[in-house]
Amino acid sequence: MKRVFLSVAVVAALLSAMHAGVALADAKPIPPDQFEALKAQIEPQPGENSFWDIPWLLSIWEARELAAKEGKPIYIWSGSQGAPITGC
Amino acid sequence: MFAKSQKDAEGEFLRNHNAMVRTSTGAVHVITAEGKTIGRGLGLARAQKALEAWEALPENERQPGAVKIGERGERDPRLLEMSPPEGCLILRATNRHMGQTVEGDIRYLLVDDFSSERAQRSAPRYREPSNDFMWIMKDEWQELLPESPKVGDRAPVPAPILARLLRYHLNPLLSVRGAMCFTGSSPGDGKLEVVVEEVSPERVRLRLEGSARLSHPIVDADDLVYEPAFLGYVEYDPSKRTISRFDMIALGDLDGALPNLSGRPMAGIPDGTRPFGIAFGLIADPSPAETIRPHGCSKRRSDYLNPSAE
Repeated sequence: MKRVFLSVAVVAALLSAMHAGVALADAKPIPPDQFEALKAQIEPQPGENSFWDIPWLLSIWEARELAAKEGKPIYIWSGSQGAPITGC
Repeated sequence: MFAKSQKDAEGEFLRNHNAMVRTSTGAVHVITAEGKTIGRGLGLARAQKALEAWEALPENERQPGAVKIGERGERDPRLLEMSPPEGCLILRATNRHMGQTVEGDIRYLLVDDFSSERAQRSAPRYREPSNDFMWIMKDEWQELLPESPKVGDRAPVPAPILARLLRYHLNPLLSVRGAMCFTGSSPGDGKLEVVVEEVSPERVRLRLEGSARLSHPIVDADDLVYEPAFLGYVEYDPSKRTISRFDMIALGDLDGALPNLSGRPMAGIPDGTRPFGIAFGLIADPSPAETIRPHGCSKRRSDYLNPSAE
């Protein structure tokens, strides 16, 4: 809600290049020396989950005050059950 | 969306200007600070059109400081119930469905992993990770930290942490439609222990390790089964008893079809044995949007906050 939407223009989610990653083979328990690499592989890659690149506000009143102060329109995303689960 | 019934000036403003929806797919509205609608709908083209409508407005509606916003007044006290409880840790939880190479390496999903043209169209959404938050209550994380830690000490994590993890945060349906899965799990379906790894006056490092086996019935098909292992690390200052790191992953085989709205197998989505992982990480200084409640907390808050009482 906060930014003007030039910032929203970057929202289109582009998936990063697919690549092979760390071996899962018989990974029970998970080998500690693979922890960081596996965690990084699960987490969003560049271009994914772009919704979270935007500093959203939760209060329409705060958004209105900021928009009036900065002379910008307000971009509102609304829906049920919280924030979007994947990219925009 | 709560604003539909929000009893304060904010809720009234949103209702009066019809600037919200209550659907799980969500919607976009673009308005001025005064409340004039200048655009609707997702997508870059519609955003551009709204921006053009904004630029066409008279200067006195667009100039910084030109519009005065009145007093907000008292906020609906029910908003507090949607906020994280005081002192709770907020973890970002990222779920990702994955594939596997013939050599056994995990890899990101490919369009060819989807067996129908229709499913292939939804592949980009499905293969992107989904986002959620996990809340760990103040009394729970304080109990997690040993009073007199010694390297090698081992103990089960507080039961509510394990129960909340199993029921609400190992959810392969999150990326499909935000529905819940495995909410009928009991603490006996998994184990999670904390092991003291390092102790110094400045820092104690704990390792989290464990595993689970969760299942969900599918109509006219085998159960959906998930068997993750857990590994994680928690670091805290023993004198201040403040946590500076809380990282964990759950990773293991997911086997079986995901259910559609009627509980039957979803067509075209990968249903063989494939890796599914969740990465958890502490959000030390949450932004307003990172205080949004977890998906598992949206309908039955008390069950989420007190999972062992179920």
